[in-house]
Amino acid sequence: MNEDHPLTQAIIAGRRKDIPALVQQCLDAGEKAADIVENRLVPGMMAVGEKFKRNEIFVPEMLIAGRAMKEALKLLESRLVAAGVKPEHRAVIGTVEGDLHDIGKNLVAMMWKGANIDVIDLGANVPPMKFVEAVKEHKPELLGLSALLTTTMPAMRDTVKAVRDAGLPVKVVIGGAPITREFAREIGADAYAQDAGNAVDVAMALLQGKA
Amino acid sequence: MNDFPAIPLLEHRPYDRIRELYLLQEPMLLAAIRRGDRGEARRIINHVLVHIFSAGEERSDLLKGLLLELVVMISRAAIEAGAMQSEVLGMNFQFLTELSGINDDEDLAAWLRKTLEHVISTIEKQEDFTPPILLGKALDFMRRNLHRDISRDETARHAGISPSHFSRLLKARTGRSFTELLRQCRVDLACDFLRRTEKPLVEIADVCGFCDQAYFTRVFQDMKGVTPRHFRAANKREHEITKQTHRITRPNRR
Repeated sequence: MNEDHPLTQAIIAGRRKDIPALVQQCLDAGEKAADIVENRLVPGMMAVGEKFKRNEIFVPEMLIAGRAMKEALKLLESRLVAAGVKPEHRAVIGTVEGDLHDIGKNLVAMMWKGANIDVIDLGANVPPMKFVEAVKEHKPELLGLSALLTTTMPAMRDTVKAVRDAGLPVKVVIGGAPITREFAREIGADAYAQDAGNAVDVAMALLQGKA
Repeated sequence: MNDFPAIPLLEHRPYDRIRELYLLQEPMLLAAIRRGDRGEARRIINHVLVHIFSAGEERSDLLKGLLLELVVMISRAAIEAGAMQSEVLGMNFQFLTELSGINDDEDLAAWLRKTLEHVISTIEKQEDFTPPILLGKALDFMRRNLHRDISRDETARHAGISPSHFSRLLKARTGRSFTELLRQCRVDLACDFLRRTEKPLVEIADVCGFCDQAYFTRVFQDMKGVTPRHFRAANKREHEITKQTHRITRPNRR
C-alpha cells in the first residue's frame, strides 16, 4: 500500500482542513471515488491503526485522523452512491447498556470505516434488545460491543445472549478495558479485540473466515 | 474570558475515577519510562486518555481541564521520581500558556503529544539517583541490616519485588549488582564510623557486616584506595585543618 500520497498523508496527520482540496485534486486527476477510498483513504487509516497498535501515537491523534477520514468520505459519498458503490461488509457497533463511554467504541468504528466497512453506530448505553433489533434491520456480518467499565461486563454478557437467543448469524466482536479473551470465550462472543488497531485485524479474520 | 473554566468542574465526582485510574497505573508508567519503553508508556497513557476523551468529548473546555490535570499529575510523578524540578515546572508553565490559546482538535492533539513526550523525556533524563518507592524500601532494608548477613532474595522479598526483577531494577538504576551495592553500603557506613567515632577497626568491621577485620580492610582498600586506618588518619588531619580555617576566617566576636 502506498502511503506517500498527499491525501493519505493528510489522513495520517489528521489535517481535516486540507482534505477538501486534496480530494478535489484526486477527482480532477480522474480518480474514481471508489478508488480514492481504496487507494488513498484506507491506506491512511491502516497506517494510523498500525501506529496505534505499536503504541507510537496518542488517542487524540487517532481521533483527528478519524475525523479527517470522515470528512473525505462525506465529500465522496454522493459519488459513491451515484456509482452504486457500497462497502463490501457491514457492521453494527455500540457501547453496552449502563456504559456511557464512547471513545473506545468510536475508535473501533473509525478503524472499521477506514477498512471500508459500512458501520452503523448505535452510540453508548445501548440496551440488548436495541442491538438485536439493529442486527435484524441492517443484517450486518459483524457486531461490535464495547465496555469500558467492569460494572457493565454483565450487560455485555446479556447482549451476546440476546443476540444468540434471537438466532442471528452475526459474528460478535467484543472489546474494552476490562475485557479479556477468556471473558469473550466465556460469554460466547466470536472474538476479542484488544485495541482499535487490532479490531481491524480481528474483523478481517472473521469476515474472511466467513467468505 | 476565563482561560480554564473547566477547572471548577473537576470538583465533580465523575472525574475522580479518572484520577484514581491514573494513580493506579502510575507505578507501571514510571517503570516503563525508566526501562526506556516509550511504547508501553504511551499505551498506559492512552488507556487513561480513552477515559478522559469519553468524559470530555462534548465539552472542549472540560477536555482541556482534564488533559491539563493529567499532565500535571505526570509532572508531579516526574518530580517525585527525581526529574529536575525547574525543568518540569518551567515546561508546564510554557505549555499551559499555549493550552489556553488552543481551540482546535488538531492543535490540541499536537500539544498533548509535545507535552507528554517532553514530560517522559524529563523522567528519562534524570541523572541523580532517586529510587522509586519499592527500590527505596529495599535500600532502606539493606541499610538497616548491614550488620548481618542479608541476601538478595530476602531484601527483594522485603520490598515486595521478585528477586530477578529486583536485580534488573538495581542494575538499571544504579549500574550495580546486589552484592556490589551491599558492599558499597557497608563501606559507606564504615566511612561514617571512621569519621565520627573512635571505635576500633575490629568493631567497625563487625557492625558493618564484614566477617573479619582483614576482609574489611581488603574490601575497603579496594573501594577507597586507602586502608581504613589511613582513611581515618587523613580525615582527622582534614578535620583539624578545617577547624583551623574556621577559626581564622571567623574570629571570635567580643
